[in-house]
Amino acid sequence: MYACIHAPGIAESGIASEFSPRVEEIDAATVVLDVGGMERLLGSPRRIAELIAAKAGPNANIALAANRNAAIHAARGYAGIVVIPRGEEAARLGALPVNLIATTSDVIETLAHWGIGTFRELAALPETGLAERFGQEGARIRKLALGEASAPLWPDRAEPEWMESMELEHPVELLEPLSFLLSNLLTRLCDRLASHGLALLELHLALRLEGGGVHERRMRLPVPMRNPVAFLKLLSLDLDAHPPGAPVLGVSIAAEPAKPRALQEGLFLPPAPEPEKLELTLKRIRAIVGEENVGSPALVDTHRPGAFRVAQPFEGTKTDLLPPPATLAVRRFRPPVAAQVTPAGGPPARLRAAQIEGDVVAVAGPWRTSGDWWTASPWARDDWDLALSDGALYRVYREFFSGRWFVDGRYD
Amino acid sequence: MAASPVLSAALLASARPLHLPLIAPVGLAFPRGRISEIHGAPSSGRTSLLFNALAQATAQEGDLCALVDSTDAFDPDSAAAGGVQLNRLLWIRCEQAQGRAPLVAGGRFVRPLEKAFRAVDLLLQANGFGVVVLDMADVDARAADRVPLNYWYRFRRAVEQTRTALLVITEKPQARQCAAFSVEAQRRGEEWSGVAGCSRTLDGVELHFEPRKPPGSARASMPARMPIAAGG
Repeated sequence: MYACIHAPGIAESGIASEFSPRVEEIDAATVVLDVGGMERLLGSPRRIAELIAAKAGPNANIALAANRNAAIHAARGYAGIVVIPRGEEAARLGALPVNLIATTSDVIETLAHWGIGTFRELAALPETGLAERFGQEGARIRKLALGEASAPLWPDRAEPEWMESMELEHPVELLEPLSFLLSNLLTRLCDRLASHGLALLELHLALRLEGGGVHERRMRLPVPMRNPVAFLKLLSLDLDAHPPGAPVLGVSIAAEPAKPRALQEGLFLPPAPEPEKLELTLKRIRAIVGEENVGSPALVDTHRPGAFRVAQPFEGTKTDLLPPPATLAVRRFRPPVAAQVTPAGGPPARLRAAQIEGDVVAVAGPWRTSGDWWTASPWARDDWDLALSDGALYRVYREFFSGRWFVDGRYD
Repeated sequence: MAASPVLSAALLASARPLHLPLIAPVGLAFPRGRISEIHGAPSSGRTSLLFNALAQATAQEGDLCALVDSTDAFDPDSAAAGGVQLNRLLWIRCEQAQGRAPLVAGGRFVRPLEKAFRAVDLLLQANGFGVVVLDMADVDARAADRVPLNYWYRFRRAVEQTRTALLVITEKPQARQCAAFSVEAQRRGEEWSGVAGCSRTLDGVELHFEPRKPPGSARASMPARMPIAAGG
């Protein structure tokens, strides 16, 4: 939601800054401010407009709209307070004269020759026809007349730099004292973000090392957070796994801010781990089992048996599926276990592999499968299902190219 | 004008009580906040029963689940064929593949089973998972017997404060008195079809599940068909 104040000398007065830190000066008599999220602080959009009007004086025109350009046109065209609800821009701006639109004098003159005097008349013109005559400018002014052209606010004051840094008098060699410094910096950063109603989405840690190097770590969080304790634990685990190669002389933490997460859980939905806690848990588990061994399993578009990939945990949404009929599960041997099968040429009668040995009680197969012959790693194999005298059911295969036998897995 | 209900009938009909047991389609109920054990010989259907329960938890009840795979034996193809929604499953592989450097945590070598127990401990502390699975089905029985009993007590204490069902897959019962539910998987026979040496196929197996604990729990049977992906 944007508010536009149109009054002589309003840019000089600094009144807009009393309501929002994000203010853009259009000209000396027009300023736009971002009032998004102020409803809970000040009240309804009408109430916000009244408060601004009370400060700006009786000669000021105030307009509130969901779109910056619509707010500017309304404030310049209508006297007093105008609040335009989202979706009603075209109807509310329709009566305004077209010369309020910031465009070239040639375009305004041509429109006047056509007899187009208001936003409504301009909006009624076909977009293709306007584009043919004026080019992109034609499409742009029509969108402005409809109140649809949205442009980002360019605040006059530069966005604050979300960075905290510290230079050390003596090099720090151990992670424990370093974590004290990190804690201090993270708390300061989170406090600053909180004062702007923001949270942290990505952390960039840079450690200036003795000898001239810089040790950099980047950490992207699944959801924006503002908990310095959680960040400290995440950074400590990360540094534990990837320690700097030399004593640290300087620390700097930069943050990519984002709007904090606002989520209302469903009353009847099963609870899930808190994102902060889940991230921390995954980080700890990755430190134990390895980075690449934690994730959600995902299928790969190939016929190669046993192909899979490990995706980011819990990506995608739940889709309600009817449970299919019960199927027999396979437990894979990774990598497949080399086996000796007798007789080597015919249907297996006896199988011997590491920790597996027995006579074949029943056998099914073979089924020949092959693939990836167009790549550098083609595969072709004959698959068999075996019931062994040890009581288990195995999937074994014979590699077509090498003639070697392998146990691929066990049905369970 | 009649007051409109705050909760629609459709919403109430779809709502599931959060702390009732996880009832697998096969008919077995795994209590939440407790340890359940599925044990049996290799090829007895332990993993098929696990996928049956995970399919219910992930696809039907919308739970986030975690599987700690101590021997890297999980097969995503057959899990998907069994109805498990893979993007709601966290898979933790504890056994390093052959030829890789041993993983080191805290400056020392950690065995796969120890990694698995530490991972389960962290998952239980995180709370919020519907099902956490500790898959020790292929762990050597002697190694499994050496797991200190206090691990199981620790897990029992950690899980009882949550709505998580901790499922442990083993060859022989390991959690002993810490398990609230224990079921033995048995394979009762196979179904073969076709002509031997020519077109013979393994079509499926007949699985039977015999609860050992608590006494008097209902038995269940399941004809498990060959998954299409693995059946070739």
